[in-house]
Amino acid sequence: MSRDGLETQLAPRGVQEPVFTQPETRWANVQEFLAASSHDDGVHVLGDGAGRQTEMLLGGHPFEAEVSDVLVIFSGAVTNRREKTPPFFSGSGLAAATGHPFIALSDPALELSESLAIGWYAGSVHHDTQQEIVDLLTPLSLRLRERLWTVGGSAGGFAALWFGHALPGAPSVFAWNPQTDLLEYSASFVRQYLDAAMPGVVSSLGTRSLQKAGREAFRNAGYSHSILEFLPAQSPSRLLYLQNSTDEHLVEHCAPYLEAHGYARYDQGLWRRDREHVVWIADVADGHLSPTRDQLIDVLSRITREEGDLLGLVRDLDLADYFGDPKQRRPDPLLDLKAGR
Amino acid sequence: MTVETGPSESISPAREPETDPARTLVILEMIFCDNESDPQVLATYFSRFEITLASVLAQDVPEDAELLVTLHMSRDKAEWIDRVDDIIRAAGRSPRLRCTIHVYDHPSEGYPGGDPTRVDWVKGPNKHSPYREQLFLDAHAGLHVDRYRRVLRVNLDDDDLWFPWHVRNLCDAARAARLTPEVSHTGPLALGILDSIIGYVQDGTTTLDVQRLKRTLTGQKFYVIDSPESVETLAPYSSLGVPERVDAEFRERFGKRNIGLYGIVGLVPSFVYLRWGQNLSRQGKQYLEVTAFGQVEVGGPAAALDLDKSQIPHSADGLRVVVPGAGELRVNVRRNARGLLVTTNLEDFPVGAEVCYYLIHRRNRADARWYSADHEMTFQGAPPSSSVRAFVRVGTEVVAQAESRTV
Repeated sequence: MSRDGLETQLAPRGVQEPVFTQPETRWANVQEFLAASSHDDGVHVLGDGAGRQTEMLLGGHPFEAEVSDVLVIFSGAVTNRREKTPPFFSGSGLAAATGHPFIALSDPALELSESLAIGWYAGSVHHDTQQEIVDLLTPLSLRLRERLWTVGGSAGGFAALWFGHALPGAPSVFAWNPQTDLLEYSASFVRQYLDAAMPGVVSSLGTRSLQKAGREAFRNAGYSHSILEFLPAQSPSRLLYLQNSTDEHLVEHCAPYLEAHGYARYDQGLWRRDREHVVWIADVADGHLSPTRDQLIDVLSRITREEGDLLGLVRDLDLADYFGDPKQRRPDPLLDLKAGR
Repeated sequence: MTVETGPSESISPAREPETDPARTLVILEMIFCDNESDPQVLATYFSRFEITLASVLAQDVPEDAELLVTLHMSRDKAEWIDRVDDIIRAAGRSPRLRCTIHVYDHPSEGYPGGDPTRVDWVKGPNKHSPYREQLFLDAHAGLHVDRYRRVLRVNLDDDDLWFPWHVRNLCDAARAARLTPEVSHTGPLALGILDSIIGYVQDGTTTLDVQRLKRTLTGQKFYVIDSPESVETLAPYSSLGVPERVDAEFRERFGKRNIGLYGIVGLVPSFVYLRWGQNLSRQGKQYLEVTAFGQVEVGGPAAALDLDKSQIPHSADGLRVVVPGAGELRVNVRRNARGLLVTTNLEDFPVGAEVCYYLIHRRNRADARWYSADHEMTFQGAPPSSSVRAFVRVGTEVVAQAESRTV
């Protein structure tokens, strides 16, 4: 599949996200929302005092959760973007199937242009989205710690990884086929995002590469475009990173992460930093396609509900031939990276 | 882009060992030409900074540590920021080292509060309080320091060098200071490594004088903070605030702030203080030299980085923590209604040590008290412009002597 395609989705294949008709509650800002004693299920709109807003869908009273795991679900690229209107919430069906309370966040950047389909929750000159979501989730993360899961695939996987590293309290992460440096993603998408989110960057490129100009723009804004900037000790408590072996992301995004975070090979297709930080490389689906809905629900249910460490759990699934792919055909991403493939 | 594997590769590859979790975070901060704006000066300093940066990026970080290099660069230096970004990216990835550029703005109102006649203030205001604390806070917001057992905070000037084993030296020194029985202090430690290298850069050759100094310099003085709580609690501990003099006076001052100040000797020197250009007088820092270990000549500062650890002359004594003031007698005097009150730090000497006192007036001994265990006494009727000379003996040997100021 083409990396420029819009098939990249958090929503599992064949699943149509439900249309929500829940009540909408508006808050002046994150602080007002956090100060409230309870938060009903439904859509919540957080202002920032300057006419911009972040929207989220709550299910199962996640901010009041005491004992349950809570999922924070980030969306990937939106298909047929021009035909749709934000907010875009993903993963509520996934959360419902696992029985966990959830927070589905819509990326505010997608409000900037009717053609912008992907924003990585990385923010814009108008909105420090990363900081706002960190502010929003910090109390929950400090309370639930590893029982707060950030979840997403592709661009949503980038956000799940990024917030999993950035949040205090060390939450947990389940990500599939994520980007690990958004500026290394497909140039057309990066260009479109920068054009909308950081006007002037693309038009003043000159002889510089898009990545170089993008890095400068992010640096000047004080935002982050890469998971690779985090030191390994800043990692989430638990991490399951699922990567299709036939996806170009394997070499361009997964291998740099393995290298930068000191992952060591455990078995063919299994890499770990320790027993709670696991990267599973398998022929899950073609190219950049996400796992099936059933696979995502099953894996997410297992890692949030079963006893034992992640490595043991994944190893057992792999030994049981979970994805049914021939292990000897699984590539070594670090060898590929060094070979420049 | 699946890689096909042949039959011989179809067997699972060997399991690799897990990496050790990081217990120590070393935070290195550097400021490139803070408030300098002259393009020619910037170009000159950047050529030096490139070597400095290369030396930092080549650090061999211990397995149980991580190194965070924060380069503070003001927004007006866009051209140089761009070039530094290229250098960082070209250096490749290491699991235990990150180097980030923190872009900051000079305040529109300038930097009030300092001494405008001092060039180090005018050109480097962000090396001073309170600006350096704010820079640290701004650059490290969101850093989870509570994930580590220990944080070391160190700075390096933009034209000096670290050999690849320097971070390892810092970690070893911190560990030794916590373990040595002479250091009972459990709060933050301010440590200064005293074995240093001074490099004299001339056309075509750089001479490295390896020596033990009386002072510690920026690049090898640092703070050790155990069980760090937050970036905010670390902010006051800029290594730029650690004195060059690791002596009894500063030890006492730091002790009042619940900071233990100690010296470190015996490591293979790993910090190079470079003296550039024409002004190469060895008088510069040589007066601070205590012991010369040897000299090494290389083609230039960059070539120095190719030196192996075994090529650096050093003390054979091994790593040791130096307690400032230990063995150093201090004599304080002040007048009161009863006469001239003398106090000493006799308690810092071994049990059984005794002290005797001479009252000195116009270079002559006007009075005396013979050896006793009294760490303080009073000379009655001491004339104006008197001082007191004291001697400490252990057994039959006089181990220290010192004289007070004149009062």
